Amino acid sequence: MKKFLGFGLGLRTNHYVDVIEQKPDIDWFEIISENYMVAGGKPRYYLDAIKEHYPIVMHGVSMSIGSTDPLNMDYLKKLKTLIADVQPEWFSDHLCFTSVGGINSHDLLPMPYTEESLNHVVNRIKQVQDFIGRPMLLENVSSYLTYKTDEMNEWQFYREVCEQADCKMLLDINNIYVSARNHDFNAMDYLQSLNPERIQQFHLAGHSDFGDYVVDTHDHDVPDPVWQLYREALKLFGPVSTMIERDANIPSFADLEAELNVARSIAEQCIPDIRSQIEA
Amino acid sequence: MSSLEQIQQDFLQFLLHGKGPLAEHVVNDQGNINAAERVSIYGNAYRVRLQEVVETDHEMLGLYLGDDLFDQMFQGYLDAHPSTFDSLRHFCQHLPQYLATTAPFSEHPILTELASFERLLLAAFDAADIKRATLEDLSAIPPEQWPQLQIRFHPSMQLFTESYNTVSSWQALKAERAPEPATKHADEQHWLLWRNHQRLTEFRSLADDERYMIDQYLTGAQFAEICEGLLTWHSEQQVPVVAVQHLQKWLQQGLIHQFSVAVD
Ligand SMILES: [Fe+2]
Repeated sequence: MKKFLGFGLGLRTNHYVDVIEQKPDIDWFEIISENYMVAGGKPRYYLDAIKEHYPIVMHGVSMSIGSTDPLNMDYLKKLKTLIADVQPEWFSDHLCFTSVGGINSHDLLPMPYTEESLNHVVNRIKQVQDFIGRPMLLENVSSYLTYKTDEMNEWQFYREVCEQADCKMLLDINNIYVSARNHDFNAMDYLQSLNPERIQQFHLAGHSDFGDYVVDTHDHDVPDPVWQLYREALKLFGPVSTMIERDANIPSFADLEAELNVARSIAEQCIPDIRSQIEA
Repeated sequence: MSSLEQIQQDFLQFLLHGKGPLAEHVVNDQGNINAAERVSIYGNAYRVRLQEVVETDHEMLGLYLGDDLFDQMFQGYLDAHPSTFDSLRHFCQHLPQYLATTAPFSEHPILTELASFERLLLAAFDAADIKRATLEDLSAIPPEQWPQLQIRFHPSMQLFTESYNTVSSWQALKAERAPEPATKHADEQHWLLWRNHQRLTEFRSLADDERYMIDQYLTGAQFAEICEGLLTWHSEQQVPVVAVQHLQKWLQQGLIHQFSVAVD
């Protein structure tokens, strides 16, 4: 079963005061887990105030689930503590590796799509889910290269990982678009191959287009082809909790709200009664 | 080594040193860009992302150094201290020590001081948000117990000591003015940084007697002992007045977490 939270935003430091003072009409917020793994401070103060009024989901960037390093238990303990404190609707991280030999690249590096890699990642997700005591969501990353050793394509790999590990999908629509451009595949083939039951959340974002390739910068407005793909995803998967993910070049809160309203109206065009399906 | 391990090792080597066999693992004849160009997208992103962290967390240091020296510092620091942290917030943790020990930066000690000061500003920002003591808490302590009074400060409170005109240079840069040339003070100067009641980070200079009191309270000293020490600066009649005035000031500024009374 998947819970439909409605339309949310990534909570960013420069919008704390807007959110607390204006109580904007946003259905939920996503936080970056690592930013709150501190004793307290400003971030925790504001989060505590904001979670009084809004459902929260947690999104991590440092689990490094695909790495051949041992699982970072220190990190997982901090994550488990934070989950206990925040009581999020769910938590997520990316299908990628970030750390090698204890060094964190702070980037979402692509996995080779092989049986070896599949087994490795599935085992680790199971361990994480057992340790945390809840299922997780796994997000597709954008990529700029294809390994020679690949035995399957990205969506076959992603689908298999989530089926075998029994975890949910956080589908970043922009990342699919970016990878489709960089690897010259049809984004619709990707979407159509996925199991609707698995898809729990969408990210919408923008990117930088360099002509020959596209970089997932998450620092622009959502562009038309990503909105178009969002329409197709709604038709295929029904109501899925949707948010705008802006990581850099962050606009005013009002601008993000306006962008989220675009998502709402597109969703209503695809599924007319979608707003009534939001579970409080 | 498994092929998964090999790819990941080669990926890291490429990010850290810009070389190695990563591109050999990558399909070359896909679209308009080749394998070398594809891996360099990752190499650039790695550097840009971390450089942005240094620019943001150490903005005034960056302005002080200017573009060329900043680039030199960033390259050197990145090579010496690749991140081992979960969060980018800690990436520059070793920067003060790097600047203190690496030429040409170590020849200008104001640089390590500037970096330390900026790190303390960040520490004040991130510190736990626990309650602050009030004037009523202080009044509730019976007069006969005052000599054994002890203090725990708010976790956002940070102490900074400079030998150079570091803070005034930071302030000048913040105000978009050119800083005075680096000059060594005759005596060290002390500063206090903290997050105030409005959750804004503040700092102010500390006189020697106030710095002494804070240092003493931090090590668990009691009111009566501290009063004795204050005789270095003040007459016997003045000492209790000065000691109490400071407690009141600290309460007003939100610096005190709680009072306690030592039991001997
Ligand atoms: Fe995303």
